[in-house]
Amino acid sequence: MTASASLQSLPEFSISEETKRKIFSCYIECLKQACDVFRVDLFDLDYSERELTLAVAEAEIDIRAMFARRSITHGIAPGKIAGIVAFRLSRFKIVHMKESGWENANMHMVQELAALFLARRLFAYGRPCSEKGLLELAYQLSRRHANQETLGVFFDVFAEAA
Amino acid sequence: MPNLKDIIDDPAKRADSVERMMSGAYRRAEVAINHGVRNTAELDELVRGAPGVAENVAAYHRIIDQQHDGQRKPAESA
Repeated sequence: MTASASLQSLPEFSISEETKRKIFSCYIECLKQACDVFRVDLFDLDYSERELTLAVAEAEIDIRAMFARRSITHGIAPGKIAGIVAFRLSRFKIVHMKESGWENANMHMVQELAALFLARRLFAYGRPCSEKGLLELAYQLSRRHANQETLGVFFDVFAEAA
Repeated sequence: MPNLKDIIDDPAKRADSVERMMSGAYRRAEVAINHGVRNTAELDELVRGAPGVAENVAAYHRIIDQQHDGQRKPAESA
């Protein structure tokens, strides 16, 4: 079977309106909590609805692609989905800080931590992971390199073993 | 598994090798080590089950403040 034939035989996957609504609403709450963690004044932060919407749309495409690799009968582990969502929410230009917030030394991690909070809260909630671990991962996402796979492994393996 | 030396100058053996690979006998196995969500409905179900526990902001503050204290100390003692 060719790769294209294999892709054609995949079921159409989409994130439902219900789940999208939950992601958007939960994201606002997670962003607030990430601000609380880094003591960022909520007034100093704007978020782009457009970028947030596009990030979720991109995650949907990633999940479809994941179905091309994983079997349809066995599905995708929740940690992998959490990894995909966290990655996309950390990469799109969602969070915009006002000048009054620029001096906060941790402002570069607000969006990343919010992304991780959301991914854990909605998709990988059965897995305990330490605050320190999530901070470390937020730093990694912001300043170093992490992709969907790295994050998926974190939520599937390390967070589970924590 | 053909030996390269054996096959390199033997067009018939080489053709056989190519045909074996073209036959479809070798297929990717299903990945089934770690599985879960199979469709939209199951993703909805997963998200519906989320308990919505708030983050322990105080615990984060303790880590961040500790880190900042550690960074300040050498400068203060210098």
